[in-house]
Amino acid sequence: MAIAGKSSPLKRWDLTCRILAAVPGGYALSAFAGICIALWLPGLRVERAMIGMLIGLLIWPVTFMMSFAISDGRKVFGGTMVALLALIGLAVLKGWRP
Amino acid sequence: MKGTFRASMAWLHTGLGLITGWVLFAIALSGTLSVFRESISTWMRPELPTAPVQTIDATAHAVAWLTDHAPKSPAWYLAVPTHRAPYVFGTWEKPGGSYIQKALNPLTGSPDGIRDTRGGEFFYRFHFELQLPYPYGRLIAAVAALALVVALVTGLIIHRRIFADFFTFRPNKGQRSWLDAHNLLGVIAFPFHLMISFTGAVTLVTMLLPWGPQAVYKQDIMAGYTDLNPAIETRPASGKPGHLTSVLPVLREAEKRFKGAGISQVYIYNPSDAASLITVMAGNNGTISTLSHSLTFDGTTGLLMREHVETRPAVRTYTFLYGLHIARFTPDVTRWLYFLSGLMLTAVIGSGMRLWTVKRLRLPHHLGHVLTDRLNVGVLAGAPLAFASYFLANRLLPPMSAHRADHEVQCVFIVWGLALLFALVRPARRTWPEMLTTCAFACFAIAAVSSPWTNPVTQSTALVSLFFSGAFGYAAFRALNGKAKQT
Repeated sequence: MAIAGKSSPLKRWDLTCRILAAVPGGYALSAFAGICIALWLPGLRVERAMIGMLIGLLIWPVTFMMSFAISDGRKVFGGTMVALLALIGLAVLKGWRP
Repeated sequence: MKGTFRASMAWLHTGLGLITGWVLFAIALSGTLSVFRESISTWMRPELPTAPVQTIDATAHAVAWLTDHAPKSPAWYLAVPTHRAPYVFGTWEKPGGSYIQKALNPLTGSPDGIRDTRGGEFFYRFHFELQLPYPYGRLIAAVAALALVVALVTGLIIHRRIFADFFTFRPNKGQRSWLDAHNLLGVIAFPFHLMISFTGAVTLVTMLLPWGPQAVYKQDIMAGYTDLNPAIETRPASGKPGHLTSVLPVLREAEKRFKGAGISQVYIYNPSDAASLITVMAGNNGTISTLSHSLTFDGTTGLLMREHVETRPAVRTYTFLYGLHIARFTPDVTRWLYFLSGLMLTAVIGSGMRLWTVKRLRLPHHLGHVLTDRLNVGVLAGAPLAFASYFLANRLLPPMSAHRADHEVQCVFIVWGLALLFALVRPARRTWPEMLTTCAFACFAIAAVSSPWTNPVTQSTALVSLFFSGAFGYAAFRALNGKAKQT
């Protein structure tokens, strides 16, 4: 509990970065990884969509844990954003629109 | 975050466990009971004939009854009898759009004379819908399942001496004993816990992550569902009245083609239309996966129109993971192992919640800790009590009263609400022994109302209830003694 209990402004900022990366960030990564796999893989539509969903299901918990395992909260947030933008770019390239 | 890797994982384990613990406890307990949902459904319908059931004949009787009583329904969905559930479980759509669910007598096809109840289906639905409106319950359950995956993996990371502690249990040591129990129960069935939580998330994945399918199917998301499960594909009604063919030869043909896998479900679409369809799904004898093989017949001629054997690798992976979770494939021994492992998972979650408060209440604490401690009683002892009252309500409410199925379910939530209120207004050290004693009596009462104990379902229900009664009684005794030692 040493991490949450003491809430100096710096640590609180660090924690906010991690939570943003873990919860909405992790979910968005899963969603866009699923979209990219569904759009880019060859094969039947249902197969591509299914592979995307199952891999997405693995990505969220892994991102979630990594968000709290990596030593610097800002790196976590930055890394998640870069990965997310890359995936969004890949999806848009293949014709995905919000 | 200056802490080491392990410390941050410990923080995550504790925080996530605290947030999701109560929901996960209720999900795990109802899921564990759902392992025997067919048996519970049978226990809750003591009016059912006890003679061995002919699957195909019973299904034909049900179809004949529905032809007379629900001809205008757009679809009938029938789960055929098994040795665990010796009746046809029918779901049909009223022309207005609402659904009726009833157990149909295997000898007559009629629901008359069988008490109206949700049976084990209540636990099954509660397990992933939490009695909340669609889709919120399912989304909460899906997120909770993934939180459990994270809690299990982080729990393994922070557990320092897995092998040595496997043989360690130090009773009568307060916090130390709770930690030992939490670790022991978590490690013994760890592979099961991880499998059941991840596959649980898989069963809800199409709701949690619908974005991939939406990207490839665009507006036509129904095409996605029929691609995933071709057995739900139907054809529009022609508008011309038709006469449903005799289902006996259709079912015999299906049984032959399924080569020993058995029949699990029969769907009949537009039964009184010339364009009716009969879809038959294979059972789970010899396959873990659900939806592995289905046949669609023309409803008027009885001729085979379409056969689907699942060979697509990704869809097979999905149906395999799905089947692993819902465990329809399991012989009795495996089913009992699922039940025991499920109980262990429930106990891991419960002991984790208890540990959180035991650890904090020894030190200077605040209102939040006290409230968590009290709500722990309301959930950890309140949920079993509420679920036990469901069984008792099934026997105590008049068998043929109106809306009794709804009243049974209301009973669960009234009892649970009262338990939470009771636990909230009194100190936990008093409510623990009181609530646990009530649970013990309630479980004993289930064993008593299972009489006459003449068939395997009532006998095993009585035995399991007696075991729970003893376990709750012992826990109440310990809680009382612990209190005596403290004061």
